[in-house]
Amino acid sequence: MRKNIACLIFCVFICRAVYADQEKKADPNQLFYGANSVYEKGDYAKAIEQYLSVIDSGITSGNLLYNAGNAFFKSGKIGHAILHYKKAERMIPHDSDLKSNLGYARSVAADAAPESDPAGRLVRIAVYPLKDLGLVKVTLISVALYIVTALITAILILHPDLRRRFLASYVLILTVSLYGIFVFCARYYDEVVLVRGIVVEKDVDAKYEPIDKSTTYFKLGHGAGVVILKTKNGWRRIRRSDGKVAWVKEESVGQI
Amino acid sequence: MYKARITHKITKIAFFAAITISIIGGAFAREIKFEVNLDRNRVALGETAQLGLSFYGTQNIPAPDLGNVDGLEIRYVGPSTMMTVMNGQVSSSITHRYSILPLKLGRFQLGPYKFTYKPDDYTSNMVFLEAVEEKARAVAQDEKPASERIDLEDRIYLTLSVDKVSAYVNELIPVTVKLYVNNLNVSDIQLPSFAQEGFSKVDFKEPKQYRERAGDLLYDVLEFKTNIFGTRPGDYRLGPAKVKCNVMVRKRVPKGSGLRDDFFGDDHFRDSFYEDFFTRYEKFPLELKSQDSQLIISPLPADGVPADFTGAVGDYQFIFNANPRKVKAGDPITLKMDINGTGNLNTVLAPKLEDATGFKVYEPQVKTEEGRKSFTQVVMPVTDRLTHTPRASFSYFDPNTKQYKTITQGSIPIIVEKAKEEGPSQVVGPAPDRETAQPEELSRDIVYIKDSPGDWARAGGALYMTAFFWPFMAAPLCMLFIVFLIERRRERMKSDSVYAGRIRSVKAAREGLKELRRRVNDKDCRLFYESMFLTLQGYLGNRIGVSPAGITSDVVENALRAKGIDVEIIKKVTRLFELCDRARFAIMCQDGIRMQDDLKYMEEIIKYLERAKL
Repeated sequence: MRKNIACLIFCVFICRAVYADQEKKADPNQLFYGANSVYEKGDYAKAIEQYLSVIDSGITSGNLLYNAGNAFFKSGKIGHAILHYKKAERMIPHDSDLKSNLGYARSVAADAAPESDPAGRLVRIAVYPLKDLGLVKVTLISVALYIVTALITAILILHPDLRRRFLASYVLILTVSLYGIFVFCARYYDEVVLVRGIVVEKDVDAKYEPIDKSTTYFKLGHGAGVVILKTKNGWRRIRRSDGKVAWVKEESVGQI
Repeated sequence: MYKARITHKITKIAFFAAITISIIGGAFAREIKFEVNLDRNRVALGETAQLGLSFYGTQNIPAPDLGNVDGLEIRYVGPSTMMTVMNGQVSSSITHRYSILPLKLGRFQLGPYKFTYKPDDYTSNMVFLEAVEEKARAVAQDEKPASERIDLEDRIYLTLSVDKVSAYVNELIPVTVKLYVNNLNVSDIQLPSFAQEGFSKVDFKEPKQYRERAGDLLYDVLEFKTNIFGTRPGDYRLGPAKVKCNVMVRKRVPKGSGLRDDFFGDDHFRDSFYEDFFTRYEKFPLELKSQDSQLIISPLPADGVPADFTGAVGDYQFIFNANPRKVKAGDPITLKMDINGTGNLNTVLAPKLEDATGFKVYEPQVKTEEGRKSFTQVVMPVTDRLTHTPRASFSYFDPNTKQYKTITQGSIPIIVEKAKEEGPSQVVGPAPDRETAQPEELSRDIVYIKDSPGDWARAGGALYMTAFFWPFMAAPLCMLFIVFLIERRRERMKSDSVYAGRIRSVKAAREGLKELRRRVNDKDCRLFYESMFLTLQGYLGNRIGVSPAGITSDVVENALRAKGIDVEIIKKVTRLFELCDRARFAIMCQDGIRMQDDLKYMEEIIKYLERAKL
C-alpha cells in the first residue's frame, strides 16, 4: 500500500515537472497568434512584448520580425521598427510588404543616414541577381555547386580521357560554381563578418571616447545604419557610412 | 675509276640525243596524211555513229568544221592523239571525233573533206553512213517500203500555231507551241523561244501534257501556250519557235570488242536482252525548230477615238462601287472599279473620274488577276454639299465589232454630313455646379501585419553559423588534393621506371617479410625458403630494374657490384641465394631457430639496400 502511494506521489511529481517544462517552452505559434490579436486590439506595447518573447526564446521567423517591426512603428519607435525590418529582410528579402514598410519607416525617420555599405559597385552588381535570396538559401546553393564541381573535378583528374569531351560543360559548371561561391562570400562578409547595427534612439551622441563626459563627435538620427566595430563596457564603437568612427551607448544601437 | 664514270655519262647522253634526233627527224620527215573513218557504216534511227578525222604525221591540227549535212546532227566530241616508236621510226597522229545522229532514213555521204591549215591543203577520203530503222538494222534484209519508213524528224518535232493571221495593235493573239515526241526518251526540255520583234514579251506558262495521234503514230505532246500582242503595225513573221532538249540515244559497244563478243560471239545470243544489257545511253543535245507563221498587225482606226481612250483593246465589262455611302466631310470614300473581260489587260489603265469637283482624289491602287483588273481609289468629300460620287468612264476598242466603246459608271448617291466643328481654343471657367477635379491625394502607412509566422528558424542555427561548416567546406578541397596526389603518383609510376621499381620493391619486400614471418611460425622449412627466394627475386628485381623472373645469384651479384655496393653485402646476398637453393632443391632443412636467424639476416640486407643508392 505504502509502495503504491509512493509511486503515485512520484508520478504526480513527474507530471508536474513535465507540465511545468511545457509551460516554460510555450508554443511559438501560439505566442505569435496571441501577439497578433493583441496588436489588432491596438495594444502595441504588449504586442511588442509578446513578439520579443518569442525571439528571446531562440526561435525566429521573417514574419515575426516583420510584425514586431510593425508594432514598434505603431508605438512610434521608428529606430526599433527599422532594426526589426532589417532583421526580417535577411530572412524574407523578397517580401514586398517588408520592402514597402522599410521604405516608409526610413522616409519617416527623415534624419536616417544612408546605410553603411562597404561593398564596391562591382560587387553589388555581381550580387544583384541573387539579392532576393536569403543568405541561408545562397549558402545551400553555393555549397551544392561547390560539392558538385569538386566531384566533377576529381573525376576529370582521375580520367584524363574525359577532359576534352566535357571541357565546355565543365567550364560552364565551374563558372556558375565560382559565381555562387563569390556571392556567398560577399554576402557572408556583409551579413556575418561585418556586424551591422541600427540606431534605435533619436539624436544619439557619438563621442570620441566611451565616457559620458567625452566630447560629442557627431549626432546620429534614429534608423541610421552603422557598422559595430566593438562592444565594451556598455558602449559600442561604431563606424558611420562616411567612415567616421565614434562611441555610442550600447542600448542606442541595436545589432541586426 | 673517274674516267670510266665520265665515259659512261657521255655514252648515256649520246644515246638519248640519238633517240631524240631520230624522233624529231622522223616526225619532220613524215608526210601528213588525212583520213576519215566511221566506226560503223549502218546505224538505226535513235543511235549514233562515231566519225573520226585522223591526221597522221602531226598532232597540231585543230578540229575542222564539218558544216551542216541535211538529215544528220553532228556534234564534236573531242580529239585523241597517239605517238608510236617502232624500229626508230616515229609516227604521231591526232584524231578529231564527232558524234553523228541521223535524223532521217537514207544513205549519207561524209567527205571528202578539204581542210587548209598553215598553209597546206588536206583532202580526205569519203565514207558513207546508212541510217536504217531500228529493226532493219538487226535484220538488214527485211526491207520495208519507203512509205512505212519513219525518220527521226518524224519522231520528234515542234509546231507553232497562231490563232489569228491578222490582228490590231494591242490585240491579244493566242500562240501555241507543241512538242511532239514518239517513242523517244527526251529530257531537259526548255521553254520555247522565238524572235519577237514588233511583239510584246513572250511569257509561256506551265505546259500541258497529253497524247495525240498523228497519222499512224501516237505522240506524247507538250503544249506551251501564251498570248502576245503586236506593239506596232506591219507584216511580221512569227517564229520559228525553238526548243532545246536532250535526246537519250543508244550507244552500242563496238562489234568484235570486249566481253560481249568473247561470251556471245554467236548471233543467236544477240537477242533483245543482251542488246539491252550491253547498250549504253548518252545525252544528245538537240535544238528543235518549228515552222514560222505570218502575222499582219493593223493599226487601230483613227476615226471615233474617245477622248479618254488609253489603248485598251478587247471586250470588257466595267463594274463600279462606292463604300461607305454615308460619311462626314473629310472622311474617305473608297471607289472600287473592276474591268473584266477577254482583252489585253496590260494596256488597261485606271478609268478617268469625271465631275470630281469637291472631292480630294488620291492615286488608285491596281490589282491584276486572271481576266480582271481592279482599281481601288480613295476620294474624300471636302464639303457636305456633295450628293453623288464622281462618274468614271472607261473606253476601249472592240476588235470583234471593230468599234470604240465607252462605258460610264458611277454617280452613286452618297450622304455627306457636316464635319465635327472644332472651334477656336478659349479659356472657360469652371461650371458653377461642378467641382474642380483635383488630383487624388493618397495617404500612406505601413502594410498590415502578417497572419502566419512563416518558416521558423533557430536563431544562429543557419548552416554557415554551425561549427562544422568550414571544416565541411574544406573537405572537398582536401579530397581534390588527395586525388591530385594519387593521379600524380600514378603518372610517375607509368613514366618513371626507377621510381616504379623502388615502390614495387618496397611493396614486394614488405609483403615477402610478412609471409616469411608467418612461415617461421608454421615451421615449414621448404615453404619458408621458397618464399624467401621469391621475396629476394621480387625485391631485388624491382630494385635493380631487372625482371624478377630473371633474377639469379649471378645476375644480382653483377648488378650490385656494378652499383658499387659493399662486397660484404654482396656476399651476404649470394649466401642467401645459396641457402634458398639448398633448401629448395635438397632434402636438407633448417630448424626453426635457423629460419629466424636467416629472416633477420635478410631484413638487415634489405635495410642496407634501402639506404644505399642503386
